[in-house]
Amino acid sequence: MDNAIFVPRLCQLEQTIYHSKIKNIHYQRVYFGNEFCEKLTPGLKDIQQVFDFCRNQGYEFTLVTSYLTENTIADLMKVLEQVNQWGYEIEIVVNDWGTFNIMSQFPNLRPVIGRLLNKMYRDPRLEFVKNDSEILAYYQKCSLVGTEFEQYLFDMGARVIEFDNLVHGMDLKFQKQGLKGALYLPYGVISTGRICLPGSWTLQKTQKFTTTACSANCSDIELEMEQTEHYDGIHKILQFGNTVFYLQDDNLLQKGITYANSAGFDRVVYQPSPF
Amino acid sequence: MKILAPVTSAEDVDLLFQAGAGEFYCGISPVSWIKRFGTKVWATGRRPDLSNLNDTEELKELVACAHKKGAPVFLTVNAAYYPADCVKDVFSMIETAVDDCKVDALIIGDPALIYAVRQRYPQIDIQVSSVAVTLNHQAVSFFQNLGVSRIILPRYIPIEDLAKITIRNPHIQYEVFILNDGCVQEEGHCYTSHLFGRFCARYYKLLTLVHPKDEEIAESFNHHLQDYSIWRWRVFNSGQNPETLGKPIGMCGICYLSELYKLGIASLKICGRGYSLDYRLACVRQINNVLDTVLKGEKPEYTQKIALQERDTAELCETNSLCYFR
Repeated sequence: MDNAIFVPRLCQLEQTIYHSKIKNIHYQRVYFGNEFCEKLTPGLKDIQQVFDFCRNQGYEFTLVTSYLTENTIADLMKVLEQVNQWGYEIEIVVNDWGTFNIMSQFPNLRPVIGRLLNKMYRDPRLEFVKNDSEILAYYQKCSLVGTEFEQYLFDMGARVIEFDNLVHGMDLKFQKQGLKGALYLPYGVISTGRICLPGSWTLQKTQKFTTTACSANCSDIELEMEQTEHYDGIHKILQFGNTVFYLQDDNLLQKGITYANSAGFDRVVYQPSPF
Repeated sequence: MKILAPVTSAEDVDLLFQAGAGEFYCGISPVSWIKRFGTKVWATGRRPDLSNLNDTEELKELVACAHKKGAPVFLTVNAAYYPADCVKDVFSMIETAVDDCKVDALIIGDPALIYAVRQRYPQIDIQVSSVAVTLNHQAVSFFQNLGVSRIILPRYIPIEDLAKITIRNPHIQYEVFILNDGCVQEEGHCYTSHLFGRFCARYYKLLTLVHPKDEEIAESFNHHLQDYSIWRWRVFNSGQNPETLGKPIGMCGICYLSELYKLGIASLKICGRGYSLDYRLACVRQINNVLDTVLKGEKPEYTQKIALQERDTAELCETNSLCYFR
């Protein structure tokens, strides 16, 4: 099983590489981009710079894209047209069915089914039902693998599908000639949305909590939800930008890696910071 | 442009139709599903005991009643996803709903289920639930290629973006939310279960700015968090029960009926399978009164004025907090 390291922004490349050295993480692939906010889709110059870095260092390269509104899908198409022309087989993580739809236009680019398209529940409160085997029969499974649709995605060019490391575990049955898994560590996504809490800070009140206005504060703010009325579990709940995550403890991290190995996952994606 | 209302019984249909509803939707949990999972896994995205019909006999009666009036009935099959070993139960329910009960379309959010239904039942009409997060015209094309007839667009798409989507991909029906439910996050990108209560709806007891640059900035951010709490409170009906009030007080899009009509939007969705009939009637009437002005050819400004009068929440509307099309 391979390892990948996730770099959300060009300015974090050096820091992420340094971090991985300290943590003794060996990786073969670099993920670059953002899954959660279209406004953070990297520009072509940044993509080129990280891609060149990967080529020089002998790493594979994966570009990560978010879910997209009508305003940005055309911009992404232009970026992908350019990346496609580089002439290398490059993975594109897609978190929007619209992006998946345009991938067939780019023969050098290979779609990865992003973890936001995989609708498995990541609710950390599911740890409270983890001894109920009948219920887990639902929550540990996914509709994108082990179904005819997995074959469809494969036929459309996808080879990898992403998963979070669930507090209640996974029980996936991939098709023999189908997709392979990629497991994200250590942040699991709880929810995300176009209305951004940090992104509304400093805006006029009538502009706050809309989908369009953005004060671009997400790189400076990390929020910790110390407690909610509905959750007093062991995992820390954090918000970066527009997205809420649970931070996996060592025990859950170990369980996830063990499962990924046993289930024939293709890779683990280590993400020191999602934004 | 029709008003789509939630129904929970055949008795609802007459009154909702008279009030102005032109289409209906409802859900039903397969008996085998309930036997297997109880109420801890929701087959239709809603609590089976509160928000759905009890059995297929009720569904049959309801559909027959609606069809007499020429109104279609759509069945929600919109859990976030259906793993392979659950699909058999769902297919069985779909066959009964379509063949015996004669529902007119299925509302599905899981592309894997859409694909599977299309393979087996090419004649069934499929609508894409908002949980599929169809935010751009390419995503519309993706689902069109899977053979669907209607896209239910997610909340919070500004009118200008809506126009671009419908113009770039005009050969399909579009449905938009028009009254009631809000969502703090993107509904289809929220991976929590309401089984345990809304993860987002309650007030956080504490949100900490982990890396405050200095006290002044931290204070400014704490004020912002208060604004966020207020907005979230408004999204969830300002802490009130609209049924008790007898009128909608949550999310709304009726100011934009003129624009939606011009864009050719097929359907206006009222949320609230769990609400009382009286409240749902109030919702339908409110929309219908505003829609009348559009159909009579009144100017958008006049329609908006009537919408504000009907709504009677001027202060809330001024905050721009509750609009689906902000």
